[in-house]
Amino acid sequence: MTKDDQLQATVAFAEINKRADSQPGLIKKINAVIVFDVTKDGKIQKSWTIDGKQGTLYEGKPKEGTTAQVTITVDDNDFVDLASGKANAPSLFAKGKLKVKGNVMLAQKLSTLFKEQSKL
Amino acid sequence: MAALKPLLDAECGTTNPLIKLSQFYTRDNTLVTQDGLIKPATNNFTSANLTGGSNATIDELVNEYHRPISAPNTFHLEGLLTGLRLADDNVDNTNKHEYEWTTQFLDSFTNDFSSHSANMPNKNNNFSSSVIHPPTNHQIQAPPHIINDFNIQQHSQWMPWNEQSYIPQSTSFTLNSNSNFLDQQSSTIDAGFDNDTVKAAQNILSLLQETQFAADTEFKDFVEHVAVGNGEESTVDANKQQATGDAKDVTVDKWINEFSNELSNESQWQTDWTSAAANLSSLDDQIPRSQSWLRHLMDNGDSYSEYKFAKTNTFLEHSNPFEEGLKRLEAHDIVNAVLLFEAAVQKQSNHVDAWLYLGITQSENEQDGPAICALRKCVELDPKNLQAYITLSSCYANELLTNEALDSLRKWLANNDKYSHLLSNRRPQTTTDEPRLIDELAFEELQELFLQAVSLSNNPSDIDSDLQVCLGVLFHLPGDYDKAAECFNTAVLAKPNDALLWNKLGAALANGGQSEKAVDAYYHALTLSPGFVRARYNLGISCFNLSAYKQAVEHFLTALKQQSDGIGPQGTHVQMSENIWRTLAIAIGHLQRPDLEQSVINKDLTKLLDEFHIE
Repeated sequence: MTKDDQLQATVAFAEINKRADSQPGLIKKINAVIVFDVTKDGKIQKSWTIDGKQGTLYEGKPKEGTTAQVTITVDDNDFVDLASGKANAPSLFAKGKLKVKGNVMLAQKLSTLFKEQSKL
Repeated sequence: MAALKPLLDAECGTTNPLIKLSQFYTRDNTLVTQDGLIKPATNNFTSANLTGGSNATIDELVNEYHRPISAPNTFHLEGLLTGLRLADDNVDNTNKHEYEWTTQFLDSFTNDFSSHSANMPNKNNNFSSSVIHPPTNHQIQAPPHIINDFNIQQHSQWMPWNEQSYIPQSTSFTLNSNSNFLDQQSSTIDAGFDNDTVKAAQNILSLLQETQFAADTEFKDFVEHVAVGNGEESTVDANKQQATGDAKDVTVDKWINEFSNELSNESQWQTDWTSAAANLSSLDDQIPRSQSWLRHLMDNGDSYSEYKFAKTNTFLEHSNPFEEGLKRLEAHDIVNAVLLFEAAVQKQSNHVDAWLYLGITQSENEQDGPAICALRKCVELDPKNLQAYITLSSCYANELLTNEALDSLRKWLANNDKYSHLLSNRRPQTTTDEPRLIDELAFEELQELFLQAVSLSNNPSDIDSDLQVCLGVLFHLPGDYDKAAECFNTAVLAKPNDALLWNKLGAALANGGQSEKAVDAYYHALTLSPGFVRARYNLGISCFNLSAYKQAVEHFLTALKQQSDGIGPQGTHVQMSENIWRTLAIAIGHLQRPDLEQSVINKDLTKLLDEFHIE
């Protein structure tokens, strides 16, 4: 069985980028550098960096001079659930399906990337 | 195990199986109201599935806190602690609820680990799915000292690092009967702890050694075991607990003492904190967080410092715009109210209430940016304006400005005569002007303070709905949507005709994934205030989340129409909310109507209204 190079996360991130494009400032609102390590079969396959300070989202580890404030490790399938709004980060976290290193409250802001937030 | 399936299958947050528990709960001797009665629900919001403990929902909430909350990783420390505590208390046999709850959440864990079961329906897959969630029709009066329990386990599961430095400090359990729970093997965690767990265990062990834990306790042995790396099959399942009672009095008093000792031992605490923070390697930004927060605030300060008025405002010549604005607000004509309040402040720039109402109304109008501007002006003029602070906190929360939201909440507390003494009772605090080192410190401190404030109320029927709102906003910040919803629910029970509260309730439910209940709440809000643009927008979002795209589009268009109606004859689209347009675009995308996309880009509202038959 050859390794499937196309992670579902790739598609998901493309969607997120689209959403971000339609809402300038969305990524900046997160105001933190968050790195996603997406795993498959237990191994990290790819990483994405959400640079809230610059307002960019790109594949790969943070660029030179940028440090991640939060690193999230999650399986490809779970990430897709997360990104589609089917699951939310805190619940995945509680189940141990999502590991967070760093400032968790910053990570919470990610939810705005994945689904429309209802307003208090 | 099988008997617990009903508990598991129905997600926390639904009430069915847990209603059974409530029977136990209400019989709990330690949890009666002051006059010895459990007050029945006086308000009937069954249509909204929001029945409830009119008086004591927050107490349930508080009660919930003292229970250990689900651990974030494989090391179920808090489960262990629950087990320990339960093992201790032999006082009250009617508190089966406690271990049943414990069982429930522990089982939900272990189920996940052992079977990755699909028992957690995604609909309610929210933050506290693994957390014991009290049914909303409880009426319990928690004794005030329970709040102190909370302090011990206040770190929600969303803050893993806290466990390692906090928990053992404040406990003085006697672990005489923990052998009971350690023996329970009915469900197991995955054998083999990973490195994180081992490290966590090691941390705990070292802290244990500093605390008053009895020297030779099985708990300590257990932790040592884990620290050494034995992948031990252990259980956290307190299922067959002998001890059921939740004495609270004895143990809690100890905890109160512990905690106050801890409080006075700030340096130790800070050391633990910073060492724990240091453990989070490779996370530190080059810029210390304190400064980055400041800088962020300064950056934001620029965008919120000047209010941008509508370019054309037919009310500028009105003789008494403020009064008229209030009337319009009363009549639920939000959009015109905004214009009137704008006129009022342009006439008289130091009119505190005009700025206040402008802020509140803009927020209802789904325009948090201008709302924040206006409210900031208000507090500049009147630094003790509680309503402004509370509204600011929700606006900041919506804009993800966590630190600012926390700051506003703190200011609300500090300027509130009922509760400001709580702040002065605390150990010397850095003033709010100083930037917080980390979000979490401020958050936890505020949590504690607000819970203390809640406990101040001796009379269970006396709900301070503003306080509940603050607490709700506070919980909303780290994503604790269930707790937030509980708070807003309580607030709404105290003020059932306040559309804003219903909207907040809906938003918390929606963000927590409970879209149907959210829709219900929004309908309440809109029935009370049909011109409530934000509630309608939120309703659209919930329809969207439920995949009802056409309805979502209809709601968005209605909201936009309401906004555009408020503009004078020249009507530009400046006043319409960008958020709504944006979400409308996404919803239309889902409708597979490429022909409409151009209309959306052009913001051709008329055409769209026509297309969807909205008059």
